[in-house]
Formats: sequence, structure tokens, C-alpha cells
Amino acid sequence: MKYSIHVPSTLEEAFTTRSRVGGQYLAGGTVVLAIKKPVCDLVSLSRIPGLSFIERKGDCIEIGGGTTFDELDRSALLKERLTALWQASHELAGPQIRNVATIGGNIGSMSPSADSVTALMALDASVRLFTMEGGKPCRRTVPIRELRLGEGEIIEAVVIRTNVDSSVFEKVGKRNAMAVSVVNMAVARVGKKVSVAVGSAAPNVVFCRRTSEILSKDCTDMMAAKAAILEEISPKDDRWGTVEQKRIVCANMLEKLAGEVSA
Amino acid sequence: MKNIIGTSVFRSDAPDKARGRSVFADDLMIPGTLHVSLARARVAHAILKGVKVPPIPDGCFVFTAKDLHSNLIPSIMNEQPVLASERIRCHGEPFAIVAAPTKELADSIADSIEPELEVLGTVDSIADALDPSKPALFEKGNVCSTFHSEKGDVDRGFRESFLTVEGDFETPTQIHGFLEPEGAVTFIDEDGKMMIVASTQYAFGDLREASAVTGRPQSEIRAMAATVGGAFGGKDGYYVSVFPAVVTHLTGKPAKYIYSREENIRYGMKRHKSISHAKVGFSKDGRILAADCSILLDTGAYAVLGTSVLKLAMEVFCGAYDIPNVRLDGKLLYTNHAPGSAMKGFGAPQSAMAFENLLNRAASKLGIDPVQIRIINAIHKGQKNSMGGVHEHEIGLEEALLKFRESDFYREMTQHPEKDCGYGIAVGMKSSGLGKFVPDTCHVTIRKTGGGYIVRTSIVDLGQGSRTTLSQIAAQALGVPFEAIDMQMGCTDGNPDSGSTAASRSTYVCGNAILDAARKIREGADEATGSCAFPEPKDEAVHAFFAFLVQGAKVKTDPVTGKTDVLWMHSTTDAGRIINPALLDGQVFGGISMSIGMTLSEQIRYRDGKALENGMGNYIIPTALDVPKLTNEFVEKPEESGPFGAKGMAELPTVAVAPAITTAVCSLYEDLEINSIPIDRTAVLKSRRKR
Repeated sequence: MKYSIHVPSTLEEAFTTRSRVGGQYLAGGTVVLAIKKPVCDLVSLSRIPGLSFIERKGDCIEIGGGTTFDELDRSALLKERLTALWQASHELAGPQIRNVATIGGNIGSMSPSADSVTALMALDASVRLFTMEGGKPCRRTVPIRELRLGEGEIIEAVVIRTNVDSSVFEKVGKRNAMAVSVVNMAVARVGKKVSVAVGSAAPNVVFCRRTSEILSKDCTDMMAAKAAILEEISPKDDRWGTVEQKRIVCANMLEKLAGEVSA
Repeated sequence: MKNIIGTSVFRSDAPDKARGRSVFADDLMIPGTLHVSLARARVAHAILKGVKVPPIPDGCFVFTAKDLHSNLIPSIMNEQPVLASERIRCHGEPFAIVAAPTKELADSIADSIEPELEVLGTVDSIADALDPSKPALFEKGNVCSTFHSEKGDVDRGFRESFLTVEGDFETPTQIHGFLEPEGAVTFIDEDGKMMIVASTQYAFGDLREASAVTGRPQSEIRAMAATVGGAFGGKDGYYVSVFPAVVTHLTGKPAKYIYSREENIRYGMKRHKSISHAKVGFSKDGRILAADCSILLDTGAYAVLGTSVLKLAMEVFCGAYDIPNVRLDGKLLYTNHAPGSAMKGFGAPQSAMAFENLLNRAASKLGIDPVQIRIINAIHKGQKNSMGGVHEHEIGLEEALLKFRESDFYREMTQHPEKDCGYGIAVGMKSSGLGKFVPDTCHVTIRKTGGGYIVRTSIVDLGQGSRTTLSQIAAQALGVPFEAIDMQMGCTDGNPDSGSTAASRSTYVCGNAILDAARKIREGADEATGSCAFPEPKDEAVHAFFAFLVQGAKVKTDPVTGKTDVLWMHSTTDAGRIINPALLDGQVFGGISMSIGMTLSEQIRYRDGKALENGMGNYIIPTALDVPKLTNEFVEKPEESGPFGAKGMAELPTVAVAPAITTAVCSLYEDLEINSIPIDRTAVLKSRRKR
């Protein structure tokens, strides 16, 4: 496999390079380089300054799209304020992968099992996207639950409100590290409002709107919540688990995690 | 001089490995090397009518079966072609060898070679192999070999039994998972001989296979093992060095062929998938009165060492126990899967999965402690084995059981089990030596030098540490410090044939050969050859002697996910006198890790003959976070015929892990019986947990 790797030093340059040569952005490379797909041109985001940071801004925490999971794993701020995202970062793959894989790359990979996306959905995070229109830089911020990446858009930052009272993430893989999730789930609570997201149980990571509504109304109504989540997921048999297994695990995990976030 | 037998001297290969200085086959860079790639079948079963080779660039080569002096891999069954020429019997079976100046070019030429095929139905399981409506891989059908033995009156044994337990069991196709894939480099050396440098367990095997296939006389070939990054049986009996050897022989140019990880996982040799059935009858006080055991093994497209694997699986099925009435039935079956052959344990883990689980269930039903029921039935020296032959060598199983009963593990299990944790034990046994009817001799030479002695042997240090243990034996026998021994290993040239580094045989047979040569040196010779022939059993048996162990597993299961975590494995090992305790622990801990993989997550699954698993990202071996606390102790009952009383034990630790873990998991549930591995989490999730 032969690649050409372009190494722009600004977002503008990255966008225009990618529009010119086609190909894919490289934001760590742990997914792109592992898949033997004939991608000839890769536009690396790793040398663009200012994409790697974890910062408190007012009532939000902003995380640069180029921040590695190792950096997220080591963040005391994250561990304290956004536990679900910290847990997802902590358990993602293994140390070698966490050293290079980035949160922007994890979001951009659009994988149904992307651990950080599940946490971000439950935390109602927003994503700030960079694009160019008429030769001018242009940015938009969208909730991750509604994210559809436009042609050439770059994930510049993730923005998460810190008014979360409690959040928790759990994944189960076929082994205890370096494992694709059989199922992953995150639950967050802001006041009485509960949010639930699930990965590896549908073609995309799913924000479980109905389940979240039921638990927000009555966080002890587990029977209705379990019934709802089983409606909201659509797992298929895959090499990591069967439909039956994923459904049982989802229902069990919901009960456990909803219990953990409730005050 | 102080005794260095029984001490954990520093591994002599460690400094080079730690500093990255060891030279593996792939590290050899010879200018002008042709890189080898194989054109492989993309279907699992077909009649091969021809091979269309497109025009190829200058300096590149394509060879097919007709270019070979002999198109047969020398083996027990002599049925495996080097290159398919009439029939494709498994997905990935090679039908042409490509050589080119770069690996990329060789791969792309290999991809462009089209076989003309008439596709046949796939024999895709053990059930398919037994189904007469399915196609046959060979004229004689899909049964490669069978095993039958009967001792005593089995039916009467069951009639007299107070309790009978019975079950069907299944174990998966497993890969060796060595760090370094199969591979070799070949070239013509300064003497005009062909040199083979391979990742191999037996350089003489590489040499003979290359000679048979190319027609080049054995005297015109040299072979040596490079540093080997693990083998576990997967680099013996079928040597991939034959492919670069053909290229070098026919072109005169150096050649290199290293398996990719995908080739290793999909097309390398495998541990046999098994389906077994066993029925065991007990008296009220726990004596085993009768056992009826049968096993079916999937040997894939070719037997390689499979016929021997079947014999061993049967011999040890209930072999750890003194049972008056035993029936054994086995079949080795051809399917359109990658060949099953040798893998650490060699059939024993498959049969232990069945018998040890049943024994634990019976103990529980009879209200007898699981260690006690094994003490009641343990086999001893002088008693008869499952086929009626007499054990003439040392057996320390009862001693191991008694010592296990004194362990912290047993105390925790029986007196203060941790909340929500399950415990289970099992016994394993494993032979040492190649077995009856297979010549099993070892020759070594020792030569005196200015500063010490050079010991030459074709035994290979595969990572198990034999360079170190054999040095210890030589140093002790010659009365010199460990550092005075220079081990020259793994080479055919100037080295005597010591046999393969396999079958848990090296410490015993090479150790004894070293003692023989050392005796001659002590008697005054400056140079001496020493030999040892592995003892053959006289009567109804396959192997003369065995090592044993008792293993305990402590587990936790997650009620949310159904996942099993193994928390502690404790072993009590009987391997005669221990030469190097740290290396023994290494073998025990490595073997356990390998079998934890098979029990919890590892398996190759075939769909229409094609393996679903093709990389280390989806073939799930345990990580450091999946391997539990490991403790090992040993009983030292010296084997009189062994070097300083040692027995071979390399493969033993893989044997009992699965039944110990499955028993531990089941102990947490009211209604769970695990008869199949890797453990099905859905079944665990759906079971009723004990309060």
C-alpha cells in the first residue's frame, strides 16, 4: 500500500489541499491505516498548531479535535467534570493507540462503536466544524446528536457544558483491552434530565431519545426504559456478539448505569 | 562447585532479545534477494484444471507444480502437495510460487495468476465430514484415521456404577499466536550449497523437505534456525522454507518468504477443533468404574501431524486415572479448512475439556471434594493405562494433588471463598517424546576448547529457554561454570541430528545425550558424541511417560455483560526434578495464557471454508489485562531415566485450564453447564445465579 501524506500547517491549507487532491484527513491514523482501502492521498492534521487542548471556557469545556486519548485520559478536569468522556478515553483501545488516536478522528471515523462518541452524545456535546466558503474560513457549531459532516469539514473542537451532575460510561469487549466494544453505553444526568447513548448496537452510535425521556420523567421506571431502549437499538449479529447478547447487555447496562447516575 | 541444577540462572538469550540484537529470519537482508509470494486459492474446494500465468516482468519468476522435482510434502500420510495441481482442498492453498525483486511486485503478480477451477461443495465442519452426501476430499473419503481401544468390560462397568455422567463437548480451532510469523531466507553460500535460514523447530526437517521437493541432494543443502519468535508446534512437520528454497534452487538467487499475519492466521497450521462425547461411571465412594470416550478432530485439508494428535488425545482422555474399564474411539477428519497439526498440548486440552468437566460434575453429585475424587482415582507407576499397558515411569500425580490440597488456593476455595467468585480445579497430563513407532533419538557433540566446552545440538531455543536449561545440564555434568558452556544450536551443518524441538522432549532426550557425551569427556576424550533414544512403551501405549499437573481457577462473572474474568490460576506441577524453576514457571504461565485465550475468546470460524478471522484485531488473544494472578509450585519426584531426574513438561500447562475455568464459572450458577468453548456469554447471561 502506498500513500501520499500531505502535511499542511493551517486549517485553511488542510481544507484546500483536501479539496484539491481528494482523499481523506488523517487525524491519528489508527483507523485509516488499519483498513486496507486504497486511499492514495492523506491530509494529515497532526502538524496544525492549536488543535490539541483541553480548556475551560465559561460554563463549558472545549477540547481540540487533535487532542489524543492519552491526553484526555490524563486530564484531571475531565475526570472530575465529565466522567463519562474520561472513562471512554481511559478504556479506548490500549496505550499505544491512545498515544496517537484523537477525539476528532474518533468522531470523524463514523464508527458505530466509537467509544468517545457514545459519551459525547450522552453529554449533549457540540462539535465546532471548520470549512471554507468562497475562499474564506467559516465555522459552524452543531450538536453531536445531529452531526452530519459536510464535504471537507474539519472537526476543530468539541464543546461540552459542565452543568452535568453525574455521568458514566461502560464498555464491554471480548477482552479487557484493545477490544472493539460489543456494546458501549453512556448515561448523563443534568438535574432531573437523564440522557442515554449506546454504541455498537445500531449502524451508528444512537442517542436514545425515548429512553432518556422516560428516565427524565421517572428515573426508577426501569421497565419502561428497558422496553424503550430495546426499541431504539437495532443490533445485528456481528463478529463481536449476537443480537440476543447485545439486547440483554443493553438492558442490563441501562439499569446499572441509570442507577449509578441517579442522585 | 555449586549445584546449578534447580537454580533459576539468568536466561542466556535474554540480553540480546531485550536489546533487539537477536537476528530473526526477516532481519536477514541479502542484496539481490527475490521476494516470494504465493498464488493462493480463493475458494476452499475445487478441481484445478489449469493455471493461467499472464506475461510477467523481466527478473520475475513463476513456478508451478510441474517445475518441482517432487510435488509432495514428506509427512505421515504423504498426501499434501507443495503446490495444488489437480485439486484445491482449502482456501488459501498455494498453486504457484512467485518471486520478484520486491514483495509488492511479487504480491501483485501472485494476485494476477488465475486458476481454472471447477468449484466443488465445501466440507465446512466435522458434521459435513461425516455426511456421506458431501464431497470427499480424497478418494478414500473424509476419514483420515481412526483410533479404537477397549479395556475390561465397559458395559459391565456402567451396569455396576452408582452414578453415570455424560456429555458432549466442543473446543475451537485455535492458532499458535506466536509473535514472529512463519518464514525463511535461502541463498547459495560460498561453498555452492543452498543455505536455509528459517523460523523453525527442526532445521533437519527444513533440509529434508527442501531436498525432497527440489531434488537437490541433502549434502548440497544446509539449514539453520534463526532466532525463533515462538513456535508452539506450528513450525514443525510442514516447513514454509520450501517455497524460497524452490526459488533459490531454480534461480540461484537469494529468496525470502515471510508469512504476513493474515497468512499466518488464515493459512498456518491450527489446533484441531474437536467434538467429543464421554460417559463415565462411578461407584458411590467415587471410584471410576467405567469410561467411554470418543473424539472427532477437524484436521482440515491435510493431516500433517494430525494422526499423532488423535492418538495422544485418546491416550490421555481419561489417562490420569486408574480405570478398570475403558473404551476409546476417535476419528481424524478431513475438511476444507486449513490443516490442523501440532499445537502445545497436542490433543490433550481437547479431551481434558470433556473428561475433567464430567469428573467435577460427578464429584459434586457424589458430595466428594474435587481434589479428593482425583486422589481416589489417580494413576500410579506400575498401574495400567487406558489401553492396558503398564506405566513403567515415574508418576507424581497423587503427590501433586496432595500438595495442591495444602495450597493457599485450595484453602481459599474450600474455607473462605471470596464473595461472588467461582472456583474450579482440573488435572492435566501430557506425554513427552514422539511416541511409539516414531524414531526418537538425539545426538549431540561436546568439544573441549581453551576456555570451556562447545555443545552442538540441532535442538532450537524457540523462546522456551532450552539454550539455558541445556547449558545448565552440560555445566553440571562437566563440572564447569554455566558461562563455560557455548551452546551451538539449531544448525544442520556440523551439528548432529538431535531430532525436532517438539513433543516436550528436548530437556529429557537432549539432556540425556549431553550427559552421555559429558561422561566420555570426563573419561578423557577431547571431543565426544552423546546419544539418547527416547524410551518406547513396551506394550499397549503410545507414549512411555507423562508429566501431570493440578490447576485451580478463580473467576468472576459480570452479571451485566456475561463476561468472565479469571482472577487467579494456581498450578501444582509434576515434572520430575526441575532444572530451572523460573523457566518452568515461564512455561506454566505461558501455557495458561494460551488456554485462557481458547476458553474465553480465541477461535477461528469458517464460512464456506474461509476463515472469518484474519488479523490480531479480530482474532482475540488475551492481553496483559486478561491474564490473572499466576502461581505455580511443583512436586519433585525424580524420573530415574531423566537427566538429573527431569521429565519434559512444556505442553502440559495448556491442558487443564479450560475445564478448571468452566467449572469455576458454572459453580456460580444454578443451572449452567458449559460444554463448549470459548464460553458463550449469552448462555451465562441467561442462567440463574446462585444466591
